[in-house]
Amino acid sequence: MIDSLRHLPPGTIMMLGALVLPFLAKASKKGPAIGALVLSVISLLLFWFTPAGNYGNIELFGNTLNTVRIDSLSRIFGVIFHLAAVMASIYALHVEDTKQHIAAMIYAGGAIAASCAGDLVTLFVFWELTAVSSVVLVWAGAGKGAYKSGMRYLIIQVISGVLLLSGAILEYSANGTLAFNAFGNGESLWELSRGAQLILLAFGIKAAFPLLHNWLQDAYPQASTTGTVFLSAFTTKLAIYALARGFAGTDELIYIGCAMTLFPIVFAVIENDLRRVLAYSLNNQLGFMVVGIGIGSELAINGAAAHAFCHIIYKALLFMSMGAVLHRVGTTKATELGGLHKSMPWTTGFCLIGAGSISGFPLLSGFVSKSMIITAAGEEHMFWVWIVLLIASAGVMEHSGIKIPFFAFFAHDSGKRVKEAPLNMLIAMGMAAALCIGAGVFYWHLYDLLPSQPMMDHVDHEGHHHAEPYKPYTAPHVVMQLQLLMFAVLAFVFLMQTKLYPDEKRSTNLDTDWIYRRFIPTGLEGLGKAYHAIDAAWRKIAVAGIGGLIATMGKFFNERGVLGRPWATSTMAFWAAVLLGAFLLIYYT
Amino acid sequence: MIIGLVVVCVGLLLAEFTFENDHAHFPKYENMFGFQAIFGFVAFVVIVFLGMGLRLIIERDEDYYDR
Repeated sequence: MIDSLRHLPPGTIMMLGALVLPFLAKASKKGPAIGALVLSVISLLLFWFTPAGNYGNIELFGNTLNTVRIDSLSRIFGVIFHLAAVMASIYALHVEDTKQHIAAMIYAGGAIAASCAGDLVTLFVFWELTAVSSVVLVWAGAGKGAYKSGMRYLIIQVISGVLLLSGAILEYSANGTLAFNAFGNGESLWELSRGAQLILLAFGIKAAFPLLHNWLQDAYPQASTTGTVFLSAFTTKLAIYALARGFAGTDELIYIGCAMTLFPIVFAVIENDLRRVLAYSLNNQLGFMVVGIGIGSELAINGAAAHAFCHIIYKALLFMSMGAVLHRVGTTKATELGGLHKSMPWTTGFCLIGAGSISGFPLLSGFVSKSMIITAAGEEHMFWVWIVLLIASAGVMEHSGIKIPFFAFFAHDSGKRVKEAPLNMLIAMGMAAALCIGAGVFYWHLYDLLPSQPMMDHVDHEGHHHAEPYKPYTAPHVVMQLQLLMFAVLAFVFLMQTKLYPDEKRSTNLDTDWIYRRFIPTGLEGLGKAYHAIDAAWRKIAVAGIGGLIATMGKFFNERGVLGRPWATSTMAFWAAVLLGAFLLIYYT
Repeated sequence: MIIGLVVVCVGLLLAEFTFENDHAHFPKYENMFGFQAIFGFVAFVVIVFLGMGLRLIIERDEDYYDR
């Protein structure tokens, strides 16, 4: 029985179980929440004990679809997706809105199934399922913009799916296979087939590549308190997995990734909504992973996978802490917050652990994963990439390391005195915090989960190169990382003391969403107005022309006009005689 | 608290004398005294100033999209 379950895509039990949740609601208000947690835990256990291999082969139109592929790369994503689902389900235990639990389970299960899809059709099906289910979590948000924001999110996500399907069809007609494997061997994206390029674009939308990114900052801060925690874990990391599977070593990804690490940090400095700051921060973290995938060396891919793993935990933790603030205070705007450490000490502590992890403080998870990507850039002698990643690391310290905890829990006291977060939220945050510390201290357990044992290049005293296991904790690495971070803190203190640090302000900051929320609508409105004006002018000219014609005709044909007035009989007799004379003359000759 | 921070920072600079970095990929920079310290400080300040500059371009009223 258990053995035959492995032929179903992992996460199926969550997706099917979600359909039972409404019946649990009839038994108890808490039923669906508890049901969701139980489903996540069962699915995690099933996945954990499923050995690597290909399962669930289906014959379709003469092709074999490999619906379940569990190997070293899909394993780590499947594990972390499950862990995220369990933590987020605990975090959402107080929620009595059944539709959110249904959506969350279908969404999480869909993402897990997609990450274990061995063919492009299965990938497409679950890719779209995550889009359609997750939008419910955005719509569940309390803000007035949630509905429209969700619609924009849905449209963009579905476009990504359509591009994926189009690419898959092109690939199939070119190669006759639907298998989802690497599309090129470390080629430039311009040398990829047209189908592969479309698929890359589909992945790029979901991975929030620069200029394709803004659905993330638009929708995530609008979602419900608990919904954002789910959202932060799955969609973008599914795309990271898909990129690592399909496009490892594609050079352009390095530069795309570099841009991704940089531009969000500047936007994050001036953003007032702390959940939106975290969305920009998420975008920046994805950049590190995309750089790793672009570099494509073994260490870099391991680094990208490790970073995705650690990132899902600390980003969920940060979103959970801001969710707790939203739950208790009703807002996450920095201008309204401050001094909350007095009333929410546990949430403050957990948030600080998340902030330390994302910044890469030693003994916390970010340190042991991000450093692999930076080291990989060094090993490939990519100096400017290395510099960009260092700048980005200082930027992470700014927005996630300092700004988030400082403006929410410290800074000037807003005078707000609220209750500490509910127990279930504290337990979920505590679990995430423990995992952040666990991954940082007992890093070898994390490395055991990676696609391969991470190795680094070592040059001995005689100048010989040889590979040795990657060690994150060396004296130079720890000291230099701490220098970078602590001097960034020093810079923050310096800017605060000299009053150069910009005040938090209530504002809307434009991003690329301006193009489709303002520019195109106003542009279309302008075009409409211009068309209307031109059309009106033409009609006016035409009416005037016809009017003129009628007037002229009237002049000739009225009772005194040349062609309309009565003529004397003598005139007619004269002209008849002239005509007859002419007739006679012509025939005579 | 600020004094504590400064002490930690100075300590981190002095810690550089306790080891030799033979894993450096860009020794010219990585083995320069206080490279990452200066880098962190300068990068932080530049990012914040860039943010202030960006604010001049993209900042709108809070209800911009609602009007």
